Amino acid sequence: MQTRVSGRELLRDVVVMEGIVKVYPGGTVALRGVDFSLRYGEIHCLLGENGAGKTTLMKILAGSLRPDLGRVVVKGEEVRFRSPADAAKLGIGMVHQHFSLIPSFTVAENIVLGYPEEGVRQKLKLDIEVLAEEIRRFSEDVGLPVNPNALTRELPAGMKQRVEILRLLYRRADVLILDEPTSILTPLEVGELFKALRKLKAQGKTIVLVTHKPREALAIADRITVLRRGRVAARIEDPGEIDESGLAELIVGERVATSVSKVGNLARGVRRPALTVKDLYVLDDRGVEAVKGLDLELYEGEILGVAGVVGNGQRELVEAILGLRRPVKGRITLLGVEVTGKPVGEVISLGLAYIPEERLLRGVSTELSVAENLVVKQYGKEPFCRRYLINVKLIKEFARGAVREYNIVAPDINSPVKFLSGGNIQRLIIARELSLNPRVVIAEQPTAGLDVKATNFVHEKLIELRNRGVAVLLISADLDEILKLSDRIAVISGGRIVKVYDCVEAIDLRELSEYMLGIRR
Amino acid sequence: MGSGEEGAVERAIVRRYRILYMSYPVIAVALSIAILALVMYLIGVDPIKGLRTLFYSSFGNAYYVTETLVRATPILMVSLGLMFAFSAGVWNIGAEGQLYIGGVAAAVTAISLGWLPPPIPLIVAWVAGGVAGALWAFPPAALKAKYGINEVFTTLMLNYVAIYFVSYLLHGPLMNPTTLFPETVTLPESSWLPRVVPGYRLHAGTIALFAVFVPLTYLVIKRTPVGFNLRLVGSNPELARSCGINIGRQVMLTLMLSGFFAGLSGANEVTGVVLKMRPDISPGYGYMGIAVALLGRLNPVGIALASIFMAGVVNGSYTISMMLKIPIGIAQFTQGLLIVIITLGELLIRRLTEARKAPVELKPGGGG
Repeated sequence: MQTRVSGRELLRDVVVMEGIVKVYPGGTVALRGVDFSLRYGEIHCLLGENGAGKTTLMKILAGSLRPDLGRVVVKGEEVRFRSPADAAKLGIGMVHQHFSLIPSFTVAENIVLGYPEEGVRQKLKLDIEVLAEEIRRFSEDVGLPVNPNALTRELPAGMKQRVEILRLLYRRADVLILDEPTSILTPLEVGELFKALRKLKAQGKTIVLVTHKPREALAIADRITVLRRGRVAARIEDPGEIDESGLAELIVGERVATSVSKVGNLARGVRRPALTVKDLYVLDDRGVEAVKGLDLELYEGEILGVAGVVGNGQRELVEAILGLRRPVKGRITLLGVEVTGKPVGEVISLGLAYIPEERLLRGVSTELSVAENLVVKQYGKEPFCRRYLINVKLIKEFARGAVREYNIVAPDINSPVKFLSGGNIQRLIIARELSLNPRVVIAEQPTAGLDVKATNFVHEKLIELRNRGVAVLLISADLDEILKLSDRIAVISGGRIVKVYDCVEAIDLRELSEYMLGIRR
Repeated sequence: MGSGEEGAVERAIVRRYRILYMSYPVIAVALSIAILALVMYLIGVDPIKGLRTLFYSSFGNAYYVTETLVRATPILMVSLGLMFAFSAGVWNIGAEGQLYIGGVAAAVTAISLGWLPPPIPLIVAWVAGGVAGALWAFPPAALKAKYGINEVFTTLMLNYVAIYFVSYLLHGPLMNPTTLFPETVTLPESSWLPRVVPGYRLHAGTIALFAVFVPLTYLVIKRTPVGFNLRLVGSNPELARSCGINIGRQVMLTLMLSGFFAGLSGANEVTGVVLKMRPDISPGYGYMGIAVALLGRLNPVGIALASIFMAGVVNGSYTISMMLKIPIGIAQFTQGLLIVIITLGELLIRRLTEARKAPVELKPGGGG
């Protein structure tokens, strides 16, 4: 491939990334050919929804992921990082979303930890006091003062973040990547962080701020790159020219509502509720309320699209419905039966099917065979099991039928699922879930990472279900998908349904994206 | 998206994977024999002669073969139990301790019930051995199921507690009052496992194990929902959970079941071979069982074959150390090395076959 970087760009740009493609094992395409550049001494915002590919792109720049295609030029030289240490040598450092500090160490210890060269670390013995003094001076010099002797676990989040930044600066990083740094900060701390970033910029550092909030980008960025589903949606050279809702639209994308092959809206006639969620509160893994007072009603024979930026309580909502996560408060009623806090098996047997977001984690067992994966939800029941014994022949027969009917491309039904592509794994999951004859289906990001053919297949199946009177809860970050399939749309933001559109045709997309991004409530 | 061309690459990959998967136990066995030869060479024994002697003294004549089967029995019993745990991804390293507890429980039961008519003391002693082994596995099982505490540490550490506890019993309350050896009195004859052939130590336990336990466990692990549950939990607990399987219950079940088998293994040694409980009842059957379960691919038939191989090496290395005047430590060293090679090799090959990336269908840079 011939270089596309001109001489002028070489002088201006500290980092140039070209045609970056990244495919995760399992077939999810995170980046589909992204060009990205950073100028010396700028604050650059990388903006996009969760799942747009921001973190992946930055992890490639920081050396913790390797791209499948594309090239990275740093300071005029093409590079192939094999580890974050390689990137650090060229002055690139990243502060990840989750802190990588050792809680029981002091600030100074955390900052010098693992730094092999120069200064106090040259001596075999570590002189803590000299070290602390050096860190104190250093932190004041760069304008981010810290108490070097403070115990890290006792620091507030904003301070911990500062320690992370200092750690990079101490290693002479001049390109700092901050991944969603504001997500764990209070508004006050955000202000502090931005002040610090401006100071660093004045010292000539280049800073990438990864965020999904347009407001923050506008507040601090010199330039903005918007990513959408693995592609660059926009490059904004002058943030003064655009406003918050303009950015929101770029993040979410301009969409045309089209509906395909749906027979009239069954739900509007009878409206028998299939799933009712009332005033639901659910905690996430960290014990923080992720769902806060959510109300939702899903009717038979409709597809209810739940639109929202990933991480607004969708996962916790689904897990609570399935019985995988105990709600703190609220009621869930499935097909007239209260299922709040009931075990998963009971909920499934009422007729609930689940197409999970993380296929490899929750959808299939990669070590088990295609045939075994097709029956994981019913091998213990008639007709597959009689008098405590499993009928292997019948399972194989069933599997052959499913493979044919759903066009699952697999070496054979006995081969482990790890040899299937992402699209075929999704076909397998759908085949399995639909074979249960469900009355309610929860589909979570059902087409994420799939190619066009597989995506269409999934869409057809969901519409087919709806036409048969099944209630479908479609949770997707892909607004195109939501608009294409849904009879009604509920917008989830901050753990609540903030808006329900009963008529998809008349939706104002700008308004919808503002609800999604929490600008409008 | 039919089959035909599109599946061809995948089919080739799967074929290669299967060949690798099948051939590994063979490689592991060959490798361990090579290591045996190397050890012999290093201590100044002609490897060819050494290996020939080793093979002869484990499979050379009818007597040696039966001795090997007798040796294979406790290993196989432990290993069949571990198969259930390992299938569910529960790493019970505590079979050795569970075996000791099972052995002492069986001995005490047999001795105190000796006055009853023949099959009763034997049967009750076996049940007691199994139950005691299962109970010894209970604390790690409960800790794992309830608090997620790593069972590797708890089961392993309880081995020492068990072995020293048994040692205390044998030096104290259970000591043979006439000989003053640290062992129980000889078990009453009513609790002995019947010998099969006069003049040989081959006993009914061995026959029962190979003829009944192996097919039975095969049926359970491959053909019942119970076995399928375990394999599902072991291969993807998160999926198992969303299929409605209670993970904690599976952990309890498998850990205690493997403890039960290890306890039976102790009862088998006590009632079939040694006929009393002694502090050296097991030369590490609990650990050999781990390697054998992995070498046998968590399949009862494979495990049966692997246990015979392991028993042959154990018996053979004892014999050659006597015949060729090699210190007994070398025999034990070799056995230990074998366990490590087999276990590591098995885990390694799993990693190697997992590391493959899934195929993708993508044209880069296309579209807007």
